[in-house]
Amino acid sequence: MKQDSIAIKVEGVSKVYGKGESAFLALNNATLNILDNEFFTLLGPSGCGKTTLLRIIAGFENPTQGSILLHGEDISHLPPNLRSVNTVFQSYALFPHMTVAENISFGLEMLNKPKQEIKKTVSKMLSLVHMEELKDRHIDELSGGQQQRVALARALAPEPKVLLLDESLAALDYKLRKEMQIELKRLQHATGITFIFVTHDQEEALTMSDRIAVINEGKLLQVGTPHEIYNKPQDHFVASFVGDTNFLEISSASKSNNNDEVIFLNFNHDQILKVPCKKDMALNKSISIAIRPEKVSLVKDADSALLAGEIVDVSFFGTDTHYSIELDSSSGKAQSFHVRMQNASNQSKQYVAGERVGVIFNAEDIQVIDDSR
Amino acid sequence: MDQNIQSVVEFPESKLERLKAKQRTIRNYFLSAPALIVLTIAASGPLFIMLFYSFLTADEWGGVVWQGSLQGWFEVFMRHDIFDGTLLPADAHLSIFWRSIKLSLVTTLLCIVFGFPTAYFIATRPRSQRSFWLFLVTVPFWTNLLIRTFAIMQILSHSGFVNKFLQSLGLIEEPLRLLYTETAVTIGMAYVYLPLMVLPLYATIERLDFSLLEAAYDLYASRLQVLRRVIIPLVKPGLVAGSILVFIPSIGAYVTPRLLGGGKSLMLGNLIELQFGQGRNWPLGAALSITLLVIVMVAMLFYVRSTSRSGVNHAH
Repeated sequence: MKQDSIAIKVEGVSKVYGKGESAFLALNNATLNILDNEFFTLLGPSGCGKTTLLRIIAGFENPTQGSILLHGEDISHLPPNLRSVNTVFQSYALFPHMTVAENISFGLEMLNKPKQEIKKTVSKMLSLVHMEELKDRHIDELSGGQQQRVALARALAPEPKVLLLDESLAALDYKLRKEMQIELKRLQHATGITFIFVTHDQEEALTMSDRIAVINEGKLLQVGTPHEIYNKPQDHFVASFVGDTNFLEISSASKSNNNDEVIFLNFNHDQILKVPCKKDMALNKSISIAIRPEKVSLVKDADSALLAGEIVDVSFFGTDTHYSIELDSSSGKAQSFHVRMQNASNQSKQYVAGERVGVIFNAEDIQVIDDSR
Repeated sequence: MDQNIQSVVEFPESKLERLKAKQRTIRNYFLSAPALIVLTIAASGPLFIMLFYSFLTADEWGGVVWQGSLQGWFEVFMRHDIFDGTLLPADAHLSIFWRSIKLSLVTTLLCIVFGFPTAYFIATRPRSQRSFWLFLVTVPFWTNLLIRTFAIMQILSHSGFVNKFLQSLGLIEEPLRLLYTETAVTIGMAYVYLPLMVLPLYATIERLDFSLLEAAYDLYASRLQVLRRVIIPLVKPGLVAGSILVFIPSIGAYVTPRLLGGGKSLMLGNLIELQFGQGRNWPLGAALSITLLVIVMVAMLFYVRSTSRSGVNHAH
């Protein structure tokens, strides 16, 4: 799919709530581009500022600083009813005094579309979300999943340039949420509308998005594809919030010169791994690295491995087995390490608690975290 | 098998429940008997006396003669010409009916116009401040109605605040005639009954889901359309309840039209008082009272209809 032009440009947007001493910086100088026809996710824990950014894009809040551009046009100070952007609210916010069909046609009526066109669009939307049968129902007669579908249809009916979804799946139970995730992707492909999706669920973000922006404490930490976010986290928070991660402090590391983009990390028995890093990264204190538990293997031979330790806990999950390992510590501080080994075959080696094991991994799977940023 | 056992076990238990419930009902009736007796005697007793009196003959110096007559009811709507005795409609009474209904409707409308923004304002304050604002709304109830009405008289009088103010601005040269007009009565009644509009409206607006307003605004509705298409339909129960609460005491108002309306702007309450006092026509007064009751009941019927219809819509 072609994704070249920019749908939403967020330029240096900050939002401060309150004044003086009690002022709260909800969003700190966020800059990002959201492309046309993209499924874009704002990911972060609750209260991180992702919903604030969404509400600024929708027009419910004014940015304290910065601007929002929709297809190049500055919309920062347009009220919501003059923006071609629609929202699917967390609580759905469906009109309880109207039927399903009346809810869906509301936006079209407000745009003064001709009656015939409204009727056609409404029935198109009803079939898009598979709700034709229930069009004359009132909202309180619908289940949570059905309400979700109506909220989607209502927001999509006026064919906005951008659709905003605020934690829209959070209220649904697990099975329904999985269904709606697939449904949302289908709708996005069917309509070709840019979706901006807000969630705190990292799994949801990884499975659904074309690109993800990770936000924490009002700061935009990293923007990238799910692969980039998962495999190349640039930040301690990103690495820990998205998926499980082992953080290791490497006390012995070297760089041939300060401007080099590689770093040499020393492991047990003087084994050195060459790992890419930021150009200007300083080598003043210990280096923090992140390794995903599934990218690590255990070996029996503890003495020749990169790291060695003792298994303290084993959990069998059927498809894989999780090991908790207490690493030998040269510096005196014990570090715990998690390993996930897939049980690809019935012959897969199983280790038991108390066993001494070696830990091996590839240099490519190490992500150097620069905490000085 | 399982089901059979269950039903055998369950049957006596449900029967026991029903017996217990019956016992509870009897006990509840017994406990509420004093209140029920007082209510029956105090509320419907006088009504039946009124109804009965309206079919009696007026005594010359007030009171009634124990003789059946339809004269009271006849005089509500018709009169005989003083000179030739021809039958004419009781236009004085009819104009008072009309004025009562008209002024009550205008009062209700004024209360909506001023009460809605007030209630909306209070409902949108932070939770901790709301009780303070509600408390302010009830402050007028601290003072006697008579005293408050006298205060309005001072404000509206020939040399009162309003006239002084307008004169000082140079908008008028001669003082306006404000007091003893229908306008004064309406202003007075709107002032007195405004809290009765604000409180039920506040109760419904407070429960309003404000994300619905955002949703409407997001779906291209202007502020006016949000008000018309979302807010008003959703607060309709409060609007209707407030309107009824204002309309009913307005149409039977006595003190306010008496003091602010002078002798010209009589309303139903004053007319009834007149029949029992100077008029010395108790059956007519009783018949007028019952007529007022009927008007109020029709208004209530309208209320019940409009609320139950919206209920039906909802369940549809």
